[in-house]
Amino acid sequence: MTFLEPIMLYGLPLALLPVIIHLLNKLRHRSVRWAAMMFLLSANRTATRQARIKQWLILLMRVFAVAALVFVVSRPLAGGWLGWVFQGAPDAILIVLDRSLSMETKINGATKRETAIQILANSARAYQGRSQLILIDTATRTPQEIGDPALLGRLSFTAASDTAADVIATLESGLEWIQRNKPGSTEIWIASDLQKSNWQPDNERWRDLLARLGSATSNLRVRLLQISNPSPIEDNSVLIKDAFLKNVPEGKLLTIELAVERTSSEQVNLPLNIFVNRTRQYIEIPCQGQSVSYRHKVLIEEGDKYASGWGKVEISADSNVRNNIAYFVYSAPPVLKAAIISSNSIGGRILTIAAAPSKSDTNRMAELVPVEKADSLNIGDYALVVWNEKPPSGELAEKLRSYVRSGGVVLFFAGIDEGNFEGINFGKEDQTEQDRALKVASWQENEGVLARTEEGLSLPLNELRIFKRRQLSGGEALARFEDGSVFIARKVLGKGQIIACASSVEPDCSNLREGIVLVPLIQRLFESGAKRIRQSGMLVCGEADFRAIGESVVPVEGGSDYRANAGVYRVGGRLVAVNHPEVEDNFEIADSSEIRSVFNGVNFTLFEEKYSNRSSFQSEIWRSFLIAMVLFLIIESILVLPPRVRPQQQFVQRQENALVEDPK
Amino acid sequence: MSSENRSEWNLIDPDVLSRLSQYPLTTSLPMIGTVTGLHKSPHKGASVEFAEYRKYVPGDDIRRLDWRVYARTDRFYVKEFEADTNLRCYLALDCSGSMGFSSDGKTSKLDYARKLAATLAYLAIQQGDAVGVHCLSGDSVVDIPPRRNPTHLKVIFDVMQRAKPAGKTNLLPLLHELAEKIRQRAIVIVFSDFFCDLRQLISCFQHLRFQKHDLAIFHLIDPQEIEFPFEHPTRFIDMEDPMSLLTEPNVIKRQYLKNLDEFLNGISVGCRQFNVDYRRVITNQSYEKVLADFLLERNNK
Repeated sequence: MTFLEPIMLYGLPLALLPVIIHLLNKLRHRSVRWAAMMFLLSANRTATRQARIKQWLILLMRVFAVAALVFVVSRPLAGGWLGWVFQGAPDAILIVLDRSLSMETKINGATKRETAIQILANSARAYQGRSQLILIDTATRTPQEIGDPALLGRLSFTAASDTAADVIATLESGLEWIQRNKPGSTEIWIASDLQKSNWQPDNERWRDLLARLGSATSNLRVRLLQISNPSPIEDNSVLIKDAFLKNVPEGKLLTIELAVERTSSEQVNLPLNIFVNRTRQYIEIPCQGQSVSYRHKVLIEEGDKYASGWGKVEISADSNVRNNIAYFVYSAPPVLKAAIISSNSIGGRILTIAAAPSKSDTNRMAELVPVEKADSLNIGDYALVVWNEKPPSGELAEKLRSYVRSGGVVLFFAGIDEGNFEGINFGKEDQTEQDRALKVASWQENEGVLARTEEGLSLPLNELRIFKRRQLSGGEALARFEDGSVFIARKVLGKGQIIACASSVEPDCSNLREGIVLVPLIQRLFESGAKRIRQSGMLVCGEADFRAIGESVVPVEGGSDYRANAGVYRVGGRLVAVNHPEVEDNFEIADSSEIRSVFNGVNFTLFEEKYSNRSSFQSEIWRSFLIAMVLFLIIESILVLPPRVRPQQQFVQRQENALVEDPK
Repeated sequence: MSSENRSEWNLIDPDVLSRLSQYPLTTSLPMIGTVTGLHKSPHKGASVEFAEYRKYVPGDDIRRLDWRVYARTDRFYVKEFEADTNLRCYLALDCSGSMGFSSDGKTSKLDYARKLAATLAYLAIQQGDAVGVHCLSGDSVVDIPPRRNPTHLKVIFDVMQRAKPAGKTNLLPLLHELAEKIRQRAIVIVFSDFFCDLRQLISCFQHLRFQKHDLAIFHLIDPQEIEFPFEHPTRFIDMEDPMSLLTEPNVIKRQYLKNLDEFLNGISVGCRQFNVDYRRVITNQSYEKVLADFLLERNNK
């Protein structure tokens, strides 16, 4: 147990005050000449043991009350969790350490992770030799047995990382360990900053996980140390969204798209150091609001030497220095391919031209693939898939789904039959006369694939004439007909997206073939899908795993372990940039009530680290001592109550009092 | 009157005496006195109250023959009347060390007992009864035999005044001795705190009653003894023995009060059993009231 005001503990000897007063009273006794000694001696002989115990109890209650008062003013903390005092050691303690990037925020000179490790080590020391101590960190999610808790801070498994934390997955690893080793009673100690994106309190997996945990061990206790105090210093985070080369007449133009997330919304000019191939550029970008996007362009000189390379963007150091640097790699622009799945030759031809209008001017290619050959297509090589057929089913649908999840883009046009894919449904067909064509009335112009151009010009969707359409439902409507039905819908799946159009490009369906909308739409989707290809060298820390490839990984810049640290690494012959996950820039903290509801039904205790002068895995418990003091005083006052006079004695005394008169 | 005499007479209060004189000291038991008095006698005498007719036997005074009965029955009968006689009153005063206890530092139990005894002695002698005093102090006994002479009062008061609380309570053998010593029926009034063995004390009462004495006892208790108002550690020094006890009053209070309560109940029950007139007197009560109740209740019996 630790105390916020330990100096007050010097007052603990005051607890002996009642005993001292009692002894002094005994020493300072007065003498009385007494006549009725026979009753006194008899009473002294036969004074019941109970009366003497009662007297000592009174003294004890007074001592406890004073001691409790001293503890109250010493502001005790539930040292190493108060449960230590009262509960036996569990068979196993699973220490779950949040090693996410957000835990690297410094408060009072120490990061949240360092504070957590210190408290965990102090707490675990009490159980050393009595319980099996198992550490599971969120970065590796690998259970490790700890011999000496004092070494907890020196282990590589507790070092700083740039990863995100999947608390559920980490606990699932813990569950596997429990199921494998079958300890009798188990405690799970979690130290985390309760970042909402890491905890996902609304995730359905929690219920299943806790049910399985409950059944895996007979006596499960979960203790959570919340280290969620916001840092008094502002925290800014920088992340590279995209970095790509473009051929321009002067050479190659490197475009770096970066995003800055801030905890403050104050308007400032944020200084940036941009390093490209070890050449530094200093710029300041105006920041207003908490999220800022910025696109920086650097002209790369012509020559093979700089056809590929790496760089980094730095912002000034703040409370969390690990999210102040973002790395990127770039290489010669790849040839982007689109797969046009269409059995209709006219439609296929139109779409092929819309995807790759001029092979000589762009690095884009389009391949027309009949639907029956789509099975054998290596779909991962394509930046865009245009599906001008009935939506696929079975294995092909699963293949397409996983392609979208990995960042691919699929554009569906209404086929000759009804169908659906991932909740987007092509319903019954409507057909109109040529002179009564349907028109598009509204569409999202602010963002997305139908947004205005950089020059502010709207896409001419109002000039489209639709003769045949299918009732489109599901997903987010991007454009609607005059009658309110959906013309273009969108659904995000994983990192990619699905776009669905209610009509088709064939001349009897619409005038999309004219290209005024079709070309920009497909080109934009191409660009969106191209990121997956271009960013093959941009990886997220914690998700990259090159062990399966079997190639050597050499650190170039930044961290030394690509699994835990951001930086630039050479994998085989290519460069990869590893950056912290975007979710770590979401500074939202889960409510303690949300976390409590997650652990509903489990023996769960939440401790809050207040960042006092000393670290502790504990909460203030002076109220408990205050209540204890009051209880001691109440018991003492009950014990010192005079014995109840028996009715007979009361009668005698009343009789005697009635007889008392003033003596003459 | 000398100052010494004045102090002796301080034991009685003329105002109290004048108020109490309306209640004669009576006894429900027949007494054998030497002169005519207020009290019933077992013998027939010459009072105005008719008792019985008895056959004439030679030697009877022929003046006491009832001639009317002789005229009707032709037999000689002597008419007999109740005899009224005086009584002997023995005042036994416990002068042990414990009787010197006084919680207020003014009136000790012995002082209180002196006032009660002196007042009763005055009232008894005033109505023609003989009064004797026994001051029981430790092993010594001051014994003043009963006299009905008013001048005897001075002797009684003098003895009472000189009695000092000292020694252990040696009441029991002395009461037995008193029971044997008093030959004729008498009223024995004991003033004591009775700090002795209860069983033996009741046995004393039984002995006195067996000798056909009318026994009345005044049980004197100090208010502090019955309340035991001590809280802090106290050394209790025995007033009769060179011993002391350092104790926590809070610890033993309950048991002390219980013991005292049992003792008081026991003595009360014992007195009822042997028809002893028992008076429990707390020394902060008015002694006039105590005596008035005592005399009135005896008159009403």
